[in-house]
Amino acid sequence: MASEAHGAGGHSPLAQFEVTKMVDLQIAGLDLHITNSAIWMMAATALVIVFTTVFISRRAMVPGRMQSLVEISYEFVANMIKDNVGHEGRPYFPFIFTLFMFILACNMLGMLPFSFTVTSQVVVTFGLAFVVFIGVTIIGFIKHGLGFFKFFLPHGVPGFLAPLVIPIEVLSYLIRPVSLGLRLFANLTAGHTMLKVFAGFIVPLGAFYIIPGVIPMAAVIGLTVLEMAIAFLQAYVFAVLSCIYLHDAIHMH
Amino acid sequence: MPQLQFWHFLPQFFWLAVCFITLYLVMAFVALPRIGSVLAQRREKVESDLDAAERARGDADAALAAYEASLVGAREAAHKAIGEASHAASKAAEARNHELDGEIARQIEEAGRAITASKAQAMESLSGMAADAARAATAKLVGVEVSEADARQAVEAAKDA
Repeated sequence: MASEAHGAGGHSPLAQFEVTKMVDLQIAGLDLHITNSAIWMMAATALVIVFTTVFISRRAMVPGRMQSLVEISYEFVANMIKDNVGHEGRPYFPFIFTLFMFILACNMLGMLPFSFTVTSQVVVTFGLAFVVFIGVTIIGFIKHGLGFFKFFLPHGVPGFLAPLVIPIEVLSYLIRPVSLGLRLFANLTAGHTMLKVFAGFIVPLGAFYIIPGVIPMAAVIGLTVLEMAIAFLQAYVFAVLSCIYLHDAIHMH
Repeated sequence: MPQLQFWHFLPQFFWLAVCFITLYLVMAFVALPRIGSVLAQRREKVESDLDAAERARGDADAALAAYEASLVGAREAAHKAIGEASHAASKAAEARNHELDGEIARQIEEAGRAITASKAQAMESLSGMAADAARAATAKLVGVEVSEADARQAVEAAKDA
């Protein structure tokens, strides 16, 4: 069924999200196939590694264009942590940097024609979101012990409100990974679906009337620019929210 | 929705974990320390260059001050030399003026003496001539021969009157 939808040019706008097996792999009875998704994850990983190691290798005192870009991304994430977490966020810099660069690379690679957008996969975005959520919760308990539970009853709330406030706070805390993962997944999926839908209008309309075909073409060009911005913005939002959750775990509000 | 097919959840998550952990390790232990060291190196270089520039400016200021001080010293020495030279020159000129004044006074005095002498001599010879003229006139008019001494005496008397 998957290959049917994917073949013949993939007429469904959702066909682009189809995961296909590229290499069969079974380890200890588990299906660990290398899928197209896995290959694009590896591509993103390789891209980030090449970007952050090759372009800095000249260690130029006056940086060239690419080295500047590497340094800018380093300082961008460093400042993000300094502003949102503070000085205590320093040890988590490599993690936030990895998170930001990985999502950014996946989003950007997804903008290439015929590519696969890894971050449009629920498993991937929720996987990352839960890693952040679980990690942050563990950090909170390490820093504050059982005192971290006080996080669910904000300071200054009258005692009789506690039965109302605590469930709301717990729920809002537990919903964090869902909103974090869902936001990235939904943005990327919706954007790419929309691009595909508009792109699908170009040829059918253009085949009969030149002018109407131009309109969806213009829309697709505009949307592509918009999607580029969203690709960056969603990576940024994911990283910033992770920083804010980290701040909550370290400073308790 | 193809994303919600359950079969690919496990393999995708597995490869996500592999990729993410690999990327994290490379970032944390290779890439980020290197980028950080490049940035720190640049910051240090900029700071040390600024320090060096500051020091060089201090040196330049000191050199300028020394130059100006030496200029002032030289100007003072020149003024002093000029003052001394002009003082010496004016003193010499004064001395020469003084000397010339003495010479001129002496010459004037000498000339005055010469004039007085020649005037006396002229007066002397005038008296002689007047006596001769008086004798000759007396001889012509009265026919009396007056002696030279008498004539002289008469002239002297007339002159004194």
